[in-house]
Amino acid sequence: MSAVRPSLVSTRPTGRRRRIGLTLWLCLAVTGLHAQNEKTVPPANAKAAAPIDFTGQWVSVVTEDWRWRMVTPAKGDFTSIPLNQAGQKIGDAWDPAKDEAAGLQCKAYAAPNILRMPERLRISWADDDTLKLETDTGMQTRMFYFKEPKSKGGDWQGVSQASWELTTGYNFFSVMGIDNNVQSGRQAAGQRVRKPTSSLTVVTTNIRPGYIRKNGVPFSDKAVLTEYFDRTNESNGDSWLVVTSILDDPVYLNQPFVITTQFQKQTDRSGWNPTPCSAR
Amino acid sequence: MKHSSNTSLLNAGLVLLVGIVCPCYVMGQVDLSGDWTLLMHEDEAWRGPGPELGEYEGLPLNAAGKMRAWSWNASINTLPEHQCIPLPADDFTDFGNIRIWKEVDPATQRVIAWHEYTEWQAQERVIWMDSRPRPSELAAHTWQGFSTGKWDRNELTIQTTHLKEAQYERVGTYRSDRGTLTEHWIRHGNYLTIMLIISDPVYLAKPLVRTRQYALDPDQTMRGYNCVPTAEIAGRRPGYVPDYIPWKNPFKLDAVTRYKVPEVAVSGGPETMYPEFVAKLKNPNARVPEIAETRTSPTAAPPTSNLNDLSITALRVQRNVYMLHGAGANITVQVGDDSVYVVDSEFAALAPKIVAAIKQITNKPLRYVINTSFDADHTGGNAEVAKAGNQIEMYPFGGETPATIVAHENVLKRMSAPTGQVSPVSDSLWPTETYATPQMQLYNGEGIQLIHERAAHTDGDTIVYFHGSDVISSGDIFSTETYPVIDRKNGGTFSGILQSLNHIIELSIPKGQQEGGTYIVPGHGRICDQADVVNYRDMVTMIGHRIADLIADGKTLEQVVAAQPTMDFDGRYGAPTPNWTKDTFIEAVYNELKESKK
Repeated sequence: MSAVRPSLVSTRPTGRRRRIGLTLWLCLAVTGLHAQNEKTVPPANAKAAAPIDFTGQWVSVVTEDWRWRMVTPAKGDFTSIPLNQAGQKIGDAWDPAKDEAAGLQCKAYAAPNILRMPERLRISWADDDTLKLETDTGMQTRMFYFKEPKSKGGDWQGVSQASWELTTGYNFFSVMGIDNNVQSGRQAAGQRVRKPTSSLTVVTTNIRPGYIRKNGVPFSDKAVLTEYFDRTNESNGDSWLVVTSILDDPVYLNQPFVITTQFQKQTDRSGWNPTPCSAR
Repeated sequence: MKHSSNTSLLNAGLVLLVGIVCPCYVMGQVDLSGDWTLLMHEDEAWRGPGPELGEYEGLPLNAAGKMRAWSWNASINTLPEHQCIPLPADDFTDFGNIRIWKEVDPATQRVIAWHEYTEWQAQERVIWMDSRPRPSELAAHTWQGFSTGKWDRNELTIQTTHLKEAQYERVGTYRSDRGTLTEHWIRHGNYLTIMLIISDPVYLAKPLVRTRQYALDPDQTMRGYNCVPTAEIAGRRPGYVPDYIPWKNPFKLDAVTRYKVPEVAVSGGPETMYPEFVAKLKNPNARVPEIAETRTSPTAAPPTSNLNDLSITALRVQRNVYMLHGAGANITVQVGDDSVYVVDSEFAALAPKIVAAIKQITNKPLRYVINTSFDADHTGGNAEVAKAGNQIEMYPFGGETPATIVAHENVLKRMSAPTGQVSPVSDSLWPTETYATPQMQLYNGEGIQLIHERAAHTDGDTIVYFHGSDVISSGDIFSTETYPVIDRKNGGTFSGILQSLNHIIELSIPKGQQEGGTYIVPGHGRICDQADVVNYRDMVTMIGHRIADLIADGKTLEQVVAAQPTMDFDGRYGAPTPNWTKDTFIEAVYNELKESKK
């Protein structure tokens, strides 16, 4: 025995309903296909997840702040830096001979300033979750950890946590439960689906206090360096690494110090010239 | 009604659903909208007070770029015609807060364009996102150029062309109007990075790459900007252009003494940008790798031998005036209430195409052909073009006649010959009406002024001013392709060229910010405005100063040519034509200035 539930509307499809049904069917079919295509296993590690390739050799092209990067500026020249009075006091007391005597020639080669040097970079994967950046000038090495850092910092390069920058991933259809990912059970309602942009974010802390510039402009051990690495591909075949860095230092800066440094991709490994740190 | 609204709602929902979940949606882009405050943590000394005179380290200038920069005199900014030039697209990031907003198609909600407003000097840029084609190469150039954008994940990549020649730093470092700009706008949270890549075959050996930063600042108050040019220094003669003789610029080494910039670096060049140059800074004798320079040769004039294959390009200049471009001189077409007037007629072989091009613009009858000079590429099509038109029959004279060919009487003198002698060209090409007064007026729905420019390119030059349309047809007094052609055999003079260029500047007026307003159709090249004529006038004046300086130093013509006094402009205007080269230009200027010294 079966009970027939009375229908409030005719079950016979009208032309209009057929059209709507067909549209819905087509839409779901297409999204289903799309979902099938997206049924990929999440990348196992940062290297596999990399939306863009930063590896290779890059050369700095110094077209900005030339007077402060290609030559060591004079003591007390703090042009462009939002340095507070405490910072200026330390900068005014800069003594490169004292740094040399103390074995601190690398103070200006610390993470906040190392990419401002005229230099070449080599970027490679140290392992599947660690990107390595080496410089010829000052012979420094930075490790960008996508997982738990293997270093605790406290040296010139500090400890750098890396991540691929993600989109916000908000989708109100997901909250409503009508998103295909929710319906297929691959995602909880309201869960943000954040996709990588083409940027690498690196946050560096616990840096040994050093200089923002070679002429003794200081940063403190409270400084936090946030960097965004982007890469461009030009129509003439050139490719540029664009690093936007934001240095927050509550001790010596009046506001975050924001600069961008660019490097041109080399097609070979020529010009690599390891040079030790110099305090002058 | 209820049924209908339900259907609409359902359909709208379906459209939305399809738009959201279908894989065919446009890839997500970053919202750049908002007010952004400029962060001056790089190059503050360059962007605020400005670099020292003669200081170009880190700039990939080629030899022409250096020479041009050494000629620059800051006093040029005191000239009224220079005062309202805004920061160009490749320099807007140097100073001032900005606002960015998007323009969307109301139906599709797709972004048609991004707009950017810079507070300092109130410039607005439009970056088209709708894949529209670039304007013709003959279209007018502007300070902000024509920009199109495309997203590559989180980077907005912008390509800009059609830029006016402008400085990207306030020390005479110029990017020519053949230069282009590529930008990458990248937003990270509340920070915006703008990367600029300036390429210029005329003045840069390598692209100049720079980056600037902004922070989102919804609290900022943007202000307007009003520029009213005034004569800042009284008593200057008309057409005065302050400059330095490049090889005698007294400020070349100021940055060396004032800021201890190493002398090997101060004049810039591509090698100064790279790490290897550090060795040179420590030891000026150190060898550093040479950086290959982008070699450019001026664009050659279009060949005139294949006229059959050539098509005529028509562009609207402004209001009633159009420009036709083929193989010879530009043709200006003015469409009045009842009829059409044209200025110049190119070559006879092109006449059918010219007539066809005019008919594409209007079916109104052609009444007048005005010649700006007697040159073959201005008058060669006179007979055929005039025949395609007709003049109004006037009582008591009967019979239809071709359109009237008007020119200054010296044009007729140059084309004809005394009775009994053979004229250089067929009488069918001769003007049928001439004027010998300083000016003549015609009327065709607007006032048309024919002004005789005495002894400029030749002694029979006419510039034609369409007052209602606010367009000037300059003839060969002004060209964007070559140095001015000074036909000394036929009464042309260097001083007359300068006088006429200054006259065009005097007659024209910009719409604002030294742009638009009066447009100028040059004898050859693209559509221009006053700023372009000013630029050309400055160039011609500066070359005159240099040659005069060499003459004063007792140099012979051969020595003057060897000194390359036009070198910084050769990449732009040095294209040889069958009858005119940079050396013949130098020779013409030299001979006139030498004679005037006697």
